[in-house]
Amino acid sequence: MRWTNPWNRRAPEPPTGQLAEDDDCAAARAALSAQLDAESEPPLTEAITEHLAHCPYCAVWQESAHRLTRRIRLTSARTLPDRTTQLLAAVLADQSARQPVRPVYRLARWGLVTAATAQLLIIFPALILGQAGALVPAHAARELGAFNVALAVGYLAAALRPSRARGALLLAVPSTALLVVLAIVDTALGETTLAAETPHLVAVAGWALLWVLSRSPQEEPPGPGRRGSRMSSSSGQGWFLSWRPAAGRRAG
Amino acid sequence: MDELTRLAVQARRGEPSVMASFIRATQREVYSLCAYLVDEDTADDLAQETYLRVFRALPDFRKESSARTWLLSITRRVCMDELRRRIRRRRSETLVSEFNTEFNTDRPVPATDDDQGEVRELLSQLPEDRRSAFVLTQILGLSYADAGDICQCPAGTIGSRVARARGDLIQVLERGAPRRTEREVRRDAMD
Repeated sequence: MRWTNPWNRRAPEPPTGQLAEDDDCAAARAALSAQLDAESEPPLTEAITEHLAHCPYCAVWQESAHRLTRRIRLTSARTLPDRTTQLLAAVLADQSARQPVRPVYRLARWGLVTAATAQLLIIFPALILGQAGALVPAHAARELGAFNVALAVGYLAAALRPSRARGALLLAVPSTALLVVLAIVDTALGETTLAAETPHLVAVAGWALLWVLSRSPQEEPPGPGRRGSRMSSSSGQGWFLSWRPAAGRRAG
Repeated sequence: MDELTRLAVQARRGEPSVMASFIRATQREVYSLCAYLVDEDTADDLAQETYLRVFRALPDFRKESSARTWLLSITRRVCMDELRRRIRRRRSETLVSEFNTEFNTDRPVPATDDDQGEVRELLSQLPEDRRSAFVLTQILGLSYADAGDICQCPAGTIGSRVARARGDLIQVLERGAPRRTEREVRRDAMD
């Protein structure tokens, strides 16, 4: 039996198979499908209801769609293993791996390398040649040099491993603060000029960069993982390395 | 605000126990979507990639939106990236040896050791957009509107994709292979 669609004004194409559809069938099936899902879009209009009453293909389709939907809904959801622990560990590792990449900290590290280099270049004549101005004795100039090299080494150490920034800051804060105060006082007393004191700006820059770096988040691992792992490691340094897996274990 | 959205907002502070609760509450749905959209073998990796992206994006999460649809749209993006990567890989393999294309099947045949595996196998034959619409609404039980948010299309489009997916699946079940009329192919191209 060949079925022709009375609502289709064009010459009806022969359906390619039992369930083939034309445009009216497509609209009707979209509405039926939405009805199965308790959705109102697209709506079951009068034209569609009428089509459904007459189209045997859509009747078959509707029945099949019912069966299919029931089958999918009755599919037993397999019990999946709880992977929270692994997933959280991966997320925390990802987060701490990404943090140092933040541009401000990378910039601070390169800034510290630059400051250390500048510091070493400025202090070179005093340290090696004992020249630090006409009135400074050679030995005093070398001692001055030694102190400034120590500062430069502090910058480099923090640049290589940002977790050292806080330690280097302990040295940099009092020395730089005193340098600045003395520069102002001595300029006022006429012992020196501001121009002669400009090299100390390197120390000020180094101090600022150390301060930025000491605030980088990897210094302070968030959350409860910290205290427990610090207790579990015998040395004071081990806690930073061990807090991540410990946090994962606790959460899981 | 629903419970999950509240959890997501709290998890922004980076407290591992809250992050763990968020993961625990959502991991099954995320895994499921990955397994249906790509395949079961990669679902674990894709779920993990999803959570990495989720927690990277969490600071930008707005509490006005639903955490569930937000999370699932990230999951779907991860799956789409993986499918695109596979297509690219297949293409470059084709360049190396056109001969191989004959033997490169669309996807590895999934294990059908259970009920869910059978359904997954069935759904793997659907075109991607219909599969997404079908899985989101039929398996995860989302509304057309939510599925539309996730697929970035109107709810009506989801409705017609679900209807066509049903048609495809009925044909597969009843004949063993989807038959598409020429008109249908043309209409899909315009979608």
